[in-house]
Amino acid sequence: MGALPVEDRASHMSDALSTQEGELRAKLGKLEMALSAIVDAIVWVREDGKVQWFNAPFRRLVGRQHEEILEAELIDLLPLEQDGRRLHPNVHPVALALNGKPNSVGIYEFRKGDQQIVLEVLAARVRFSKQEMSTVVAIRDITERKRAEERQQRLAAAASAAAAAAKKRAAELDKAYQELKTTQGMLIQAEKMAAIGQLASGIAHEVKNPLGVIMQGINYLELGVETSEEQTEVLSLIKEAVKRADKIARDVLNFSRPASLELKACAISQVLEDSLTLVQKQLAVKNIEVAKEIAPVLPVVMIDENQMKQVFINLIVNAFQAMPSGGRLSIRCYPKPLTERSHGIGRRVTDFFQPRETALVCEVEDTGIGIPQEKLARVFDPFFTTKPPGEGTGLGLTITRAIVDAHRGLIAIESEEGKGTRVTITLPIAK
Amino acid sequence: MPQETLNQHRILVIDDEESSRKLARRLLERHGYQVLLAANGEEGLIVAKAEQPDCILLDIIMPKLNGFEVLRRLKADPDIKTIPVIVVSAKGAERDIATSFRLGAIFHVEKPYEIQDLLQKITVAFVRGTQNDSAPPAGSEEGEPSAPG
Repeated sequence: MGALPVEDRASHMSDALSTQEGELRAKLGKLEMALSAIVDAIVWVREDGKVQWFNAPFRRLVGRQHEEILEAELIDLLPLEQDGRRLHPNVHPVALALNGKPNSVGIYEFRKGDQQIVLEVLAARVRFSKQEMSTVVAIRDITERKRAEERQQRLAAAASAAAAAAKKRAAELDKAYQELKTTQGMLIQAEKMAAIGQLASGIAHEVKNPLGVIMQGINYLELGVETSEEQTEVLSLIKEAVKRADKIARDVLNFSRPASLELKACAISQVLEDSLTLVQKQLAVKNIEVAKEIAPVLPVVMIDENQMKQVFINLIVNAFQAMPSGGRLSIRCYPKPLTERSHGIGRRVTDFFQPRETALVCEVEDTGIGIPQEKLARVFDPFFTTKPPGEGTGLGLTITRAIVDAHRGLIAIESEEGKGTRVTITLPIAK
Repeated sequence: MPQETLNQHRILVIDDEESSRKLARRLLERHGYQVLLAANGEEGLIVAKAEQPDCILLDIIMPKLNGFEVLRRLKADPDIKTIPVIVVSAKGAERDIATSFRLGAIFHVEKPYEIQDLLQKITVAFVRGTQNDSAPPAGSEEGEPSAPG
């Protein structure tokens, strides 16, 4: 290229420079616009802590004029608080950055006019050139987010409290429902029993009359002079059938009759003893060991001796019949403080016992064949029997329970197939 | 034909069931008794008064006039109150038995029964009947609410 005069060259360079400067200014202007367009407040400070540049959101945040901000100390412009207390200038994030911490982020409160807002402040060290270090600070208003979070936390807490309450209520409801179901079951049972009782006693009386006629007929035929041995046997079979039918009718009448009790103060041990002796005399008992565990001192009970004897006779007969090839019959009797609430023990009017009351407990337990679980719930139902046809009327335990109920006592049965059965009777003590 | 004629005692059977009456007659006649029959309470009272039997077998569950009511009327009538009455009924609850005795029955036999048992009681009834021909204490005026069968 040809040599140009110095002036020309200078002028040329100056033009080039001013073009470059113009381009740079335009770039810087765009950058500033861009930085101001974003919502976050951005500011950078020199090493002396004074504001060198800031965007429009920063101005709006601190609510000052442009001239008031530039060259002012950022820490003074942006006093921060934490938990309602003014942050010490030494631990201000800007101070930390100026002291050399490359990055610091924190959440602070800030008083903007008369409202308290929450800021997330990020301060970062930036090296603009070899000589020039600066600290860039980005500030974001997270008040809304924070509030939303708190609301969410409160909601979550409330929701979990509500869930817990609902769960508790559901458990209570479930318990109440179960109790109601039990009570309803008992009521239905009682009603069913009353209806069956009425029907059955009507039938029983009607049946006993023709049975009477059959028996008269048998008695008449027995008088026959020419009755053969075979005929005699047939007659005696018919007679047995009549007696069995009569026994069923009597049992039905027994349990359907409203039990009127003749209560007397009794020693239960004697009643147990008498019942046992009676059964042992009647049944040919083989290989059965009888173990009596009667507490030496027993409280007096108010019972109808005959009816309670009926109860124990039924239970002991059942126990013996459950042990055709021998076993062990245990009879226990002892006073028992009732500690827990359970069926029949509680504060409802339908409960027979109050918790903490002492009751008299009698247990009759065998080591016999046991009762299958699916049948256990039905053993108190009328006409339900686990015995072979002809051996049980299915009324023994029904009557037993009716008598125990009439004494305001409880009866419970537990059984395991192949191991045995235990019936527990709980009776109130005479006061 | 009656098995024997040694026993001339007459027994009145009051029972509404025909088969029961018929069989009672056959059985008792076979044991040498004379048997009178009545199919209901009113008839029973009339026959009792007219025939003066030595013993009455009385059913309780009968339509219209039930046995307890018949028993009370029997014991209230001076002409027939000394006749021993055996209640023979399908009813056998303690309450029923107590009512029978309170109204003046000498025995209460529950149906079905074995004839031997009834015969024994009839024998006892005759002995008692002749012993106190005067009158059993028929303190039954207050009456038992006549339980319908």
